[in-house]
Amino acid sequence: MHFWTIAVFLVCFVLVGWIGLRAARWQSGDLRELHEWGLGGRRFGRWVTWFLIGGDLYTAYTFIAVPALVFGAGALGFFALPYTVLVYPLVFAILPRLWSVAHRHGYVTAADFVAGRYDSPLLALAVAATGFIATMPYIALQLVGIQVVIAALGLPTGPGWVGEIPLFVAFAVLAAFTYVSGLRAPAMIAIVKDALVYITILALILVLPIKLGGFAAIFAQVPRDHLLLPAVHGGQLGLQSFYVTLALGSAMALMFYPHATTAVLSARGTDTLRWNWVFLPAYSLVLGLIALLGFMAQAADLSRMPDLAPYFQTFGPQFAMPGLLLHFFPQWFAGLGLAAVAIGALVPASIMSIAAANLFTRNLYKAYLRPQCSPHDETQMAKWMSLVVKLGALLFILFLPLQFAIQLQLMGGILILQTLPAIAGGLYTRWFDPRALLMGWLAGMGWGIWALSLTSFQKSVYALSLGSWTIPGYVGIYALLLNLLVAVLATLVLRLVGLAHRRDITQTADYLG
Amino acid sequence: MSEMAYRNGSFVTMEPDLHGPAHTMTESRHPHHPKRLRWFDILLLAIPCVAVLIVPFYNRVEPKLWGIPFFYWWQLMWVPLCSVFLGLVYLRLRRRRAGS
Repeated sequence: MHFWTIAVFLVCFVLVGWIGLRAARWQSGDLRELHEWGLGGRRFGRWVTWFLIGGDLYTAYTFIAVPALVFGAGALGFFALPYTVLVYPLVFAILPRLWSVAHRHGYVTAADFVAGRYDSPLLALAVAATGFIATMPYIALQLVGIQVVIAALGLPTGPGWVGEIPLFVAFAVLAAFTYVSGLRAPAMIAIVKDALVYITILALILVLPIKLGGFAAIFAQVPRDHLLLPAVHGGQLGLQSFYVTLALGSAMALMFYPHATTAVLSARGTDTLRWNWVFLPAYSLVLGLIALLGFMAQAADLSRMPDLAPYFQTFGPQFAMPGLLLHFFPQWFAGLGLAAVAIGALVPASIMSIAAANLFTRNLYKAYLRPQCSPHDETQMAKWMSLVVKLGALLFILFLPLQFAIQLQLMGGILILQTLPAIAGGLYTRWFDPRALLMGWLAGMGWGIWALSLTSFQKSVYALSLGSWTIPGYVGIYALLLNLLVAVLATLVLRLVGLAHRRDITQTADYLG
Repeated sequence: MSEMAYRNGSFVTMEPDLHGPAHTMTESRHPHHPKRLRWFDILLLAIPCVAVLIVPFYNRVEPKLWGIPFFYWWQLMWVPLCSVFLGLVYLRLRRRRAGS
């Protein structure tokens, strides 16, 4: 037990819980309306949006997993950097169109847009279900982030009921403020979270290289085969093609994860969004620095330190970042840093549960089960659903092996990519037929899951053989190519036999704004 | 089922059309909309993407910067540069909107 670490951590946590509950009154609106509870009334300005999207995309799991990956795998783990560089030009070009059309037609989810664009509730259901399924393990992983922090604080983390109490408390705080305040809560908390994250990372990145003798000394400790990606030789592209496709695929998937859509649609206007994309890479810089922490943990040989070794035994490389905090900093500062990670888990977990609840309510409950429900009933359903989703994630963590959540999250990105032709395609053209898109989606999902099963869901790499070349790549990208191929061919066939339809309630002008 | 909606400064009737293209309005009617990206905007957005996609180019140790291998500082450098290119497109869009 580290008294000051826990004390500072608790103060931060209580502060955040209080802010989250108070957030309901901020820019107040009628929280019985779904676009108020679930999108903050679409009124978030430049700064709030900046904090919200930053808090949303750079999750606690990122802070834990990225240094863990670099610590364990070296250069390959750095893919997070090209990934977050690629994502901004993509969203800058594409997502203002989604905001505009959603604003004109009152869409709350991407599946709402698909339903309107293609007049196909079935395609919308497929998009919504994909988003819902991909989000669940992501929420579970946020709770894993909290679990690692609780362990670092020296508190029990199970097994047994007593050991789970700290996780239950964190969960209760999260559930309460999300239920009461909706998207306003994570938006306000994100401001505190980011302040803590920036302070922690700046301290880590300034202090550690000095203590470890400079970057040259740190990189000298890195094993040679971890320093770079393996060279291309013969027809074997090795990890280089995987690195590129993983970065590109992750960037494209991130755009259309439901929690990203929710944060984007809550902005006040397209100008707010574009301004944000210009300044959001500041977070990527932080991410890049966090990734380097993996090498610092390696240079410091943390996993062999007697006081940290048991943690590494339980959590593996995931303990690299918390380990650095505990080993190199005074107790109170470690408390601050660990609070940053834990609160960094609450913000995205809250937004994700809201996004999943919006999807369920709009595209399953209202579309299929109770089309006549009033706007207030709809919102109440979404609030309950946000609790159910989080409870599911909690049970996931308690009763299933951790590896399961990580594998499902790996699959999540691949699944989300299969909604790209319908959503991103639809933002530009109504050429595709909805049934063809559905076939492409099925093909992509089926092949993607099959390709993952080849490695027993351990790795997201598939080695494509073209003649004498072997091109290992991200399964999600290959699945997306297959998906597109099927969608294009099926649309052509449907058009040739005259069965394609072009029913569409949106207009070209709706997309420009 | 039809509803009145406010579009582009006038009220229009929105009616799902069951037979042909829902609306005659096509992309070509708005080629010079101030918020449309032009080819030069797209080029500016593509530059940072290409810079981080050319792995064989930056997959090397030398030249180092403050002891950091090229692989790492090249990719880190493109984070702020990405902001610069996005900022340029943002300003171009804003100028066009002010001028229209």
